[in-house]
Amino acid sequence: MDRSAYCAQVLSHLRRLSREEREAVRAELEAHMEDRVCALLDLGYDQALAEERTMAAMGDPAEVGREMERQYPRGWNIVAGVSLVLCVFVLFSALSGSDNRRMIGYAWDSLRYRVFPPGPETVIAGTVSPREIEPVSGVTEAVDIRRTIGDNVLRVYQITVGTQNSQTAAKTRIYEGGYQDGALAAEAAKSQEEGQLTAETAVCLYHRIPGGLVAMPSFNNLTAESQRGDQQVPFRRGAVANPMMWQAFLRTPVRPGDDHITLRYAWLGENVTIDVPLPKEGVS
Amino acid sequence: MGKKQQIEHTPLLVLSLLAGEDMYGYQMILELARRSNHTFDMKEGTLYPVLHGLEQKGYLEAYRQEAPTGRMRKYYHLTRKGGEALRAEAESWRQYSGAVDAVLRSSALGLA
Repeated sequence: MDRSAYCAQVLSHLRRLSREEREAVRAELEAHMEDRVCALLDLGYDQALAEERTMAAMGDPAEVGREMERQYPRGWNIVAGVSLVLCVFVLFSALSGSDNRRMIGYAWDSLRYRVFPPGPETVIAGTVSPREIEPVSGVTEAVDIRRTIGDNVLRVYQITVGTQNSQTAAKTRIYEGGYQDGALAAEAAKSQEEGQLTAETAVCLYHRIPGGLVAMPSFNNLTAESQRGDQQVPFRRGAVANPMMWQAFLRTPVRPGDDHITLRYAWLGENVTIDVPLPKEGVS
Repeated sequence: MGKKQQIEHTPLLVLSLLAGEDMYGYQMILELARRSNHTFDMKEGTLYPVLHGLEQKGYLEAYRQEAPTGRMRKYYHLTRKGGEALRAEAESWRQYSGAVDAVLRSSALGLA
Protein backbone atom coordinates (compact mmCIF):
# COMPACT_ATOMS: atom_id res chain seq x y z
CA MET A 1 0.00 0.00 0.00
CA ASP A 2 1.33 3.44 -0.86
CA ARG A 3 0.51 6.78 0.73
CA SER A 4 -2.17 7.61 -1.80
CA ALA A 5 -3.95 4.30 -1.27
CA TYR A 6 -3.72 4.74 2.51
CA CYS A 7 -5.38 8.14 2.34
CA ALA A 8 -8.02 6.83 -0.05
CA GLN A 9 -8.93 4.07 2.40
CA VAL A 10 -9.19 6.51 5.28
CA LEU A 11 -11.33 8.88 3.25
CA SER A 12 -13.63 6.10 2.10
CA HIS A 13 -15.05 6.02 5.65
CA LEU A 14 -15.65 9.76 5.92
CA ARG A 15 -19.22 10.04 4.71
CA ARG A 16 -20.33 12.82 7.06
CA LEU A 17 -17.51 15.18 6.16
CA SER A 18 -17.79 17.83 3.49
CA ARG A 19 -15.48 17.75 0.47
CA GLU A 20 -13.33 20.49 2.02
CA GLU A 21 -13.04 18.61 5.30
CA ARG A 22 -12.11 15.40 3.52
CA GLU A 23 -9.42 17.15 1.53
CA ALA A 24 -8.08 18.73 4.72
CA VAL A 25 -7.81 15.27 6.30
CA ARG A 26 -6.02 13.95 3.23
CA ALA A 27 -3.54 16.85 3.23
CA GLU A 28 -2.83 16.41 6.93
CA LEU A 29 -2.20 12.66 6.61
CA GLU A 30 -0.01 13.11 3.53
CA ALA A 31 2.05 15.76 5.30
CA HIS A 32 2.51 13.45 8.26
CA MET A 33 3.64 10.55 6.07
CA GLU A 34 5.94 12.84 4.12
CA ASP A 35 7.60 13.89 7.38
CA ARG A 36 7.95 10.28 8.47
CA VAL A 37 9.44 9.12 5.16
CA CYS A 38 11.92 12.02 5.10
CA ALA A 39 12.97 11.26 8.67
CA LEU A 40 13.63 7.63 7.77
CA LEU A 41 15.53 8.60 4.61
CA ASP A 42 17.69 10.85 6.78
CA LEU A 43 18.43 7.82 8.95
CA GLY A 44 19.70 5.96 5.89
CA TYR A 45 16.63 3.96 4.91
CA ASP A 46 16.04 3.50 1.21
CA GLN A 47 12.85 4.89 -0.30
CA ALA A 48 10.94 1.59 -0.48
CA LEU A 49 11.75 0.59 3.09
CA ALA A 50 10.99 4.07 4.36
CA GLU A 51 7.57 3.92 2.67
CA GLU A 52 6.90 0.47 4.08
CA ARG A 53 7.85 1.45 7.64
CA THR A 54 5.77 4.59 7.39
CA MET A 55 2.69 2.65 6.34
CA ALA A 56 3.22 0.28 9.25
CA ALA A 57 3.61 3.17 11.69
CA MET A 58 0.40 4.83 10.53
CA GLY A 59 -1.78 1.89 11.52
CA ASP A 60 -4.96 0.46 10.03
CA PRO A 61 -6.51 3.02 7.63
CA ALA A 62 -9.99 1.58 8.18
CA GLU A 63 -9.69 2.10 11.95
CA VAL A 64 -8.39 5.63 11.45
CA GLY A 65 -11.23 6.36 9.01
CA ARG A 66 -13.93 5.00 11.31
CA GLU A 67 -12.58 6.90 14.32
CA MET A 68 -12.33 10.07 12.29
CA GLU A 69 -15.92 9.66 11.09
CA ARG A 70 -17.09 9.36 14.69
CA GLN A 71 -15.66 12.79 15.48
CA TYR A 72 -18.11 14.47 13.11
CA PRO A 73 -21.62 13.77 14.42
CA ARG A 74 -23.47 15.43 11.58
CA GLY A 75 -26.82 13.78 12.10
CA TRP A 76 -28.21 16.47 14.37
CA ASN A 77 -26.51 19.16 12.32
CA ILE A 78 -28.37 17.97 9.25
CA VAL A 79 -31.67 17.91 11.15
CA ALA A 80 -30.99 21.39 12.48
CA GLY A 81 -30.03 22.62 9.01
CA VAL A 82 -33.12 21.17 7.39
CA SER A 83 -35.28 22.64 10.16
CA LEU A 84 -33.73 26.04 9.66
CA VAL A 85 -34.29 25.90 5.91
CA LEU A 86 -37.91 24.86 6.46
CA CYS A 87 -38.48 27.68 8.95
CA VAL A 88 -37.02 30.22 6.56
CA PHE A 89 -39.14 28.81 3.74
CA VAL A 90 -42.34 28.93 5.81
CA LEU A 91 -41.58 32.45 7.00
CA PHE A 92 -40.77 33.59 3.47
CA SER A 93 -43.95 32.00 2.14
CA ALA A 94 -45.99 33.66 4.87
CA LEU A 95 -44.54 37.06 4.17
CA SER A 96 -44.46 36.81 0.40
CA GLY A 97 -48.15 35.94 -0.03
CA SER A 98 -50.03 39.00 -1.23
CA ASP A 99 -52.82 38.45 1.30
CA ASN A 100 -50.35 38.21 4.16
CA ARG A 101 -48.46 41.28 3.03
CA ARG A 102 -51.76 43.10 2.93
CA MET A 103 -52.63 41.97 6.44
CA ILE A 104 -49.27 43.18 7.73
CA GLY A 105 -49.98 46.53 6.10
CA TYR A 106 -53.40 46.65 7.78
CA ALA A 107 -51.89 45.90 11.17
CA TRP A 108 -49.26 48.59 10.66
CA ASP A 109 -51.95 51.17 9.84
CA SER A 110 -53.92 50.04 12.89
CA LEU A 111 -50.88 50.80 15.05
CA ARG A 112 -49.84 53.96 13.24
CA TYR A 113 -53.16 55.71 13.50
CA ARG A 114 -53.44 55.24 17.23
CA VAL A 115 -49.94 56.58 17.83
CA PHE A 116 -49.17 59.19 15.17
CA PRO A 117 -52.00 59.55 12.66
CA PRO A 118 -51.05 61.43 9.49
CA GLY A 119 -52.72 64.64 8.43
CA PRO A 120 -54.92 65.08 5.35
CA GLU A 121 -51.99 66.19 3.18
CA THR A 122 -50.10 62.97 3.81
CA VAL A 123 -53.12 60.76 3.34
CA ILE A 124 -54.22 62.42 0.13
CA ALA A 125 -50.67 62.39 -1.27
CA GLY A 126 -50.65 58.62 -0.83
CA THR A 127 -53.87 58.00 -2.75
CA VAL A 128 -54.09 56.84 -6.35
CA SER A 129 -55.31 60.19 -7.68
CA PRO A 130 -54.04 62.84 -5.28
CA ARG A 131 -54.79 65.61 -7.76
CA GLU A 132 -58.48 64.94 -7.63
CA ILE A 133 -58.75 66.23 -4.12
CA GLU A 134 -57.02 68.77 -1.96
CA PRO A 135 -57.23 69.23 1.76
CA VAL A 136 -58.92 72.28 3.16
CA SER A 137 -56.36 75.03 3.56
CA GLY A 138 -56.60 77.22 6.60
CA VAL A 139 -55.97 77.08 10.33
CA THR A 140 -55.19 73.61 11.67
CA GLU A 141 -55.31 72.45 15.27
CA ALA A 142 -54.42 69.05 16.71
CA VAL A 143 -57.01 67.51 19.00
CA ASP A 144 -57.21 64.15 20.70
CA ILE A 145 -60.75 63.05 21.44
CA ARG A 146 -61.53 59.36 21.79
CA ARG A 147 -64.84 57.57 22.26
CA THR A 148 -65.23 53.83 22.71
CA ILE A 149 -68.31 51.86 21.73
CA GLY A 150 -68.07 48.13 21.99
CA ASP A 151 -64.57 47.22 20.90
CA ASN A 152 -64.17 50.17 18.57
CA VAL A 153 -62.46 53.45 19.31
CA LEU A 154 -63.29 56.57 17.35
CA ARG A 155 -60.49 59.10 17.51
CA VAL A 156 -60.70 62.72 16.39
CA TYR A 157 -57.16 63.92 15.91
CA GLN A 158 -57.14 67.08 13.83
CA ILE A 159 -59.45 69.87 12.73
CA THR A 160 -58.87 72.52 10.07
CA VAL A 161 -60.99 75.55 9.28
CA GLY A 162 -60.50 77.15 5.87
CA THR A 163 -61.72 77.06 2.32
CA GLN A 164 -61.71 74.35 -0.29
CA ASN A 165 -60.99 74.99 -3.92
CA SER A 166 -63.55 74.60 -6.71
CA GLN A 167 -62.14 71.32 -7.99
CA THR A 168 -62.38 69.72 -4.57
CA ALA A 169 -65.89 71.07 -4.06
CA ALA A 170 -66.98 69.60 -7.39
CA LYS A 171 -65.49 66.21 -6.54
CA THR A 172 -67.21 66.34 -3.20
CA ARG A 173 -70.56 66.85 -4.87
CA ILE A 174 -69.96 63.98 -7.29
CA TYR A 175 -68.96 61.71 -4.45
CA GLU A 176 -71.92 62.56 -2.33
CA GLY A 177 -74.32 62.21 -5.21
CA GLY A 178 -73.09 58.71 -5.78
CA TYR A 179 -73.49 57.55 -2.24
CA GLN A 180 -76.38 59.40 -0.65
CA ASP A 181 -80.03 59.78 -1.36
CA GLY A 182 -81.18 62.84 -3.29
CA ALA A 183 -82.30 65.17 -0.51
CA LEU A 184 -79.23 64.78 1.67
CA ALA A 185 -76.88 64.89 -1.28
CA ALA A 186 -78.47 68.08 -2.58
CA GLU A 187 -78.26 69.68 0.83
CA ALA A 188 -74.67 68.65 1.22
CA ALA A 189 -73.71 69.72 -2.26
CA LYS A 190 -75.25 73.13 -1.76
CA SER A 191 -72.97 73.77 1.16
CA GLN A 192 -69.84 72.82 -0.71
CA GLU A 193 -69.36 75.83 -2.89
CA GLU A 194 -66.06 77.34 -3.72
CA GLY A 195 -64.84 79.70 -1.05
CA GLN A 196 -67.21 78.34 1.57
CA LEU A 197 -65.69 78.40 5.03
CA THR A 198 -65.37 74.74 5.92
CA ALA A 199 -64.30 72.71 8.93
CA GLU A 200 -62.45 69.54 7.99
CA THR A 201 -62.25 67.03 10.83
CA ALA A 202 -59.79 64.14 10.64
CA VAL A 203 -61.04 61.02 12.37
CA CYS A 204 -60.03 57.40 12.51
CA LEU A 205 -61.59 54.25 13.86
CA TYR A 206 -59.73 51.23 15.16
CA HIS A 207 -60.21 48.21 17.39
CA ARG A 208 -59.18 48.70 21.01
CA ILE A 209 -56.72 45.83 20.53
CA PRO A 210 -54.10 46.55 17.83
CA GLY A 211 -54.75 44.32 14.85
CA GLY A 212 -58.38 43.67 15.77
CA LEU A 213 -61.02 44.06 13.08
CA VAL A 214 -63.19 47.16 13.19
CA ALA A 215 -66.95 47.14 12.79
CA MET A 216 -67.42 48.99 9.52
CA PRO A 217 -71.11 49.92 9.92
CA SER A 218 -70.29 52.00 12.96
CA PHE A 219 -68.43 54.36 10.70
CA ASN A 220 -70.96 54.52 7.85
CA ASN A 221 -73.49 56.59 9.77
CA LEU A 222 -70.95 59.04 11.14
CA THR A 223 -71.94 62.64 10.34
CA ALA A 224 -70.62 66.07 11.16
CA GLU A 225 -72.93 69.02 11.92
CA SER A 226 -72.38 72.71 12.30
CA GLN A 227 -73.96 74.62 15.16
CA ARG A 228 -76.91 75.45 12.89
CA GLY A 229 -77.47 71.88 11.90
CA ASP A 230 -75.71 72.08 8.52
CA GLN A 231 -74.72 68.51 7.91
CA GLN A 232 -72.45 66.72 5.60
CA VAL A 233 -71.95 63.04 5.05
CA PRO A 234 -68.53 61.50 5.61
CA PHE A 235 -66.05 62.74 3.09
CA ARG A 236 -63.93 59.68 2.53
CA ARG A 237 -62.34 60.45 -0.79
CA GLY A 238 -58.59 60.12 -0.38
CA ALA A 239 -59.03 58.45 2.98
CA VAL A 240 -57.65 55.14 4.23
CA ALA A 241 -59.81 52.13 4.92
CA ASN A 242 -58.95 48.57 5.73
CA PRO A 243 -60.43 45.84 7.92
CA MET A 244 -58.34 46.91 10.91
CA MET A 245 -58.58 50.67 10.62
CA TRP A 246 -60.75 53.33 9.00
CA GLN A 247 -59.80 56.92 8.52
CA ALA A 248 -61.80 59.79 7.00
CA PHE A 249 -62.16 63.53 6.74
CA LEU A 250 -65.53 65.06 7.45
CA ARG A 251 -66.33 68.49 6.06
CA THR A 252 -68.91 70.81 7.50
CA PRO A 253 -69.80 74.33 6.42
CA VAL A 254 -69.15 76.76 9.25
CA ARG A 255 -69.52 80.52 9.75
CA PRO A 256 -67.44 83.12 11.53
CA GLY A 257 -68.26 83.04 15.22
CA ASP A 258 -68.89 79.30 15.39
CA ASP A 259 -66.97 77.66 18.17
CA HIS A 260 -67.50 73.93 17.51
CA ILE A 261 -68.87 71.30 15.20
CA THR A 262 -70.59 68.12 16.31
CA LEU A 263 -69.93 64.55 15.25
CA ARG A 264 -72.81 62.11 15.58
CA TYR A 265 -73.03 58.41 15.12
CA ALA A 266 -75.11 55.53 16.39
CA TRP A 267 -73.81 52.07 17.02
CA LEU A 268 -74.94 49.12 19.10
CA GLY A 269 -77.99 51.10 20.31
CA GLU A 270 -75.97 54.04 21.54
CA ASN A 271 -76.14 57.53 20.11
CA VAL A 272 -72.82 59.24 20.45
CA THR A 273 -72.30 62.99 20.20
CA ILE A 274 -68.85 64.53 20.13
CA ASP A 275 -68.31 68.28 20.14
CA VAL A 276 -65.07 69.27 18.48
CA PRO A 277 -63.87 72.81 19.22
CA LEU A 278 -62.94 74.90 16.20
CA PRO A 279 -59.63 76.77 16.06
CA LYS A 280 -60.47 80.30 17.21
CA GLU A 281 -58.29 81.94 14.60
CA GLY A 282 -60.05 80.06 11.83
CA VAL A 283 -63.54 81.37 12.65
CA SER A 284 -62.77 84.82 13.99
CA MET B 1 -5.97 -3.49 28.25
CA GLY B 2 -2.86 -1.61 27.17
CA LYS B 3 -4.42 -0.51 23.89
CA LYS B 4 -7.65 0.57 25.61
CA GLN B 5 -5.81 2.68 28.14
CA GLN B 6 -3.74 4.22 25.40
CA ILE B 7 -6.87 5.31 23.50
CA GLU B 8 -8.51 6.74 26.61
CA HIS B 9 -5.43 8.62 27.67
CA THR B 10 -4.42 10.00 24.31
CA PRO B 11 -6.66 13.10 24.56
CA LEU B 12 -5.16 13.91 27.96
CA LEU B 13 -1.65 13.47 26.61
CA VAL B 14 -2.39 15.61 23.56
CA LEU B 15 -3.88 18.41 25.67
CA SER B 16 -0.86 18.22 27.95
CA LEU B 17 1.56 18.44 25.01
CA LEU B 18 -0.21 21.49 23.62
CA ALA B 19 -0.21 23.27 26.97
CA GLY B 20 3.42 24.19 26.31
CA GLU B 21 3.34 25.19 22.65
CA ASP B 22 1.37 24.84 19.43
CA MET B 23 2.32 21.71 17.48
CA TYR B 24 1.44 19.77 14.36
CA GLY B 25 0.62 16.05 14.31
CA TYR B 26 3.98 14.53 13.46
CA GLN B 27 5.70 16.83 15.95
CA MET B 28 3.33 15.60 18.66
CA ILE B 29 4.16 11.96 17.89
CA LEU B 30 7.88 12.63 18.22
CA GLU B 31 7.46 14.70 21.37
CA LEU B 32 5.19 12.12 22.97
CA ALA B 33 7.68 9.34 22.27
CA ARG B 34 10.54 11.41 23.60
CA ARG B 35 8.82 12.52 26.81
CA SER B 36 7.47 9.04 27.60
CA ASN B 37 10.72 7.32 26.72
CA HIS B 38 8.86 5.57 23.88
CA THR B 39 6.19 4.17 26.21
CA PHE B 40 3.44 5.77 24.12
CA ASP B 41 4.42 4.55 20.67
CA MET B 42 0.92 4.81 19.28
CA LYS B 43 -0.17 4.06 15.73
CA GLU B 44 0.40 7.47 14.26
CA GLY B 45 -2.74 7.64 12.12
CA THR B 46 -4.93 7.25 15.22
CA LEU B 47 -3.68 10.58 16.55
CA TYR B 48 -5.71 12.52 13.96
CA PRO B 49 -9.18 11.35 15.00
CA VAL B 50 -8.25 12.40 18.54
CA LEU B 51 -7.09 15.82 17.34
CA HIS B 52 -10.21 16.35 15.24
CA GLY B 53 -12.44 15.23 18.11
CA LEU B 54 -10.81 17.71 20.47
CA GLU B 55 -11.16 20.38 17.84
CA GLN B 56 -14.86 19.59 17.44
CA LYS B 57 -15.32 19.96 21.20
CA GLY B 58 -13.64 23.35 21.14
CA TYR B 59 -10.64 22.23 23.14
CA LEU B 60 -8.28 22.92 20.24
CA GLU B 61 -8.07 25.39 17.42
CA ALA B 62 -6.19 24.64 14.20
CA TYR B 63 -4.40 26.93 11.80
CA ARG B 64 -2.05 26.43 8.86
CA GLN B 65 1.47 27.73 9.00
CA GLU B 66 4.79 27.06 7.35
CA ALA B 67 7.00 24.86 9.52
CA PRO B 68 10.75 25.47 9.95
CA THR B 69 11.28 22.74 7.34
CA GLY B 70 9.44 24.91 4.79
CA ARG B 71 6.39 22.67 4.52
CA MET B 72 2.87 23.89 5.31
CA ARG B 73 1.61 22.31 8.51
CA LYS B 74 -1.64 22.26 10.39
CA TYR B 75 -0.85 23.47 13.87
CA TYR B 76 -3.07 22.90 16.86
CA HIS B 77 -3.53 25.40 19.65
CA LEU B 78 -4.98 24.73 23.12
CA THR B 79 -8.03 26.92 23.78
CA ARG B 80 -9.14 28.27 27.15
CA LYS B 81 -11.82 25.58 27.23
CA GLY B 82 -9.17 22.98 26.42
CA GLY B 83 -7.01 24.28 29.26
CA GLU B 84 -9.88 23.86 31.70
CA ALA B 85 -10.51 20.34 30.41
CA LEU B 86 -6.82 19.54 30.79
CA ARG B 87 -6.83 20.63 34.44
CA ALA B 88 -9.95 18.57 35.18
CA GLU B 89 -8.67 15.47 33.37
CA ALA B 90 -5.23 15.72 34.95
CA GLU B 91 -6.79 15.89 38.42
CA SER B 92 -8.96 12.85 37.65
CA TRP B 93 -5.90 10.99 36.42
CA ARG B 94 -3.91 11.82 39.53
CA GLN B 95 -6.71 10.52 41.74
CA TYR B 96 -7.00 7.37 39.62
CA SER B 97 -3.29 6.65 39.51
CA GLY B 98 -2.98 7.43 43.24
CA ALA B 99 -5.70 4.92 44.00
CA VAL B 100 -4.04 2.27 41.83
CA ASP B 101 -0.71 2.99 43.47
CA ALA B 102 -2.23 2.67 46.94
CA VAL B 103 -3.68 -0.73 46.07
CA LEU B 104 -0.38 -1.91 44.63
CA ARG B 105 1.51 -0.74 47.70
CA SER B 106 -0.84 -2.53 50.10
CA SER B 107 -0.52 -5.67 47.97
CA ALA B 108 3.27 -5.40 48.09
CA LEU B 109 3.16 -5.20 51.89
CA GLY B 110 1.10 -8.34 52.01
CA LEU B 111 3.51 -10.18 49.76
CA ALA B 112 6.50 -9.10 51.78
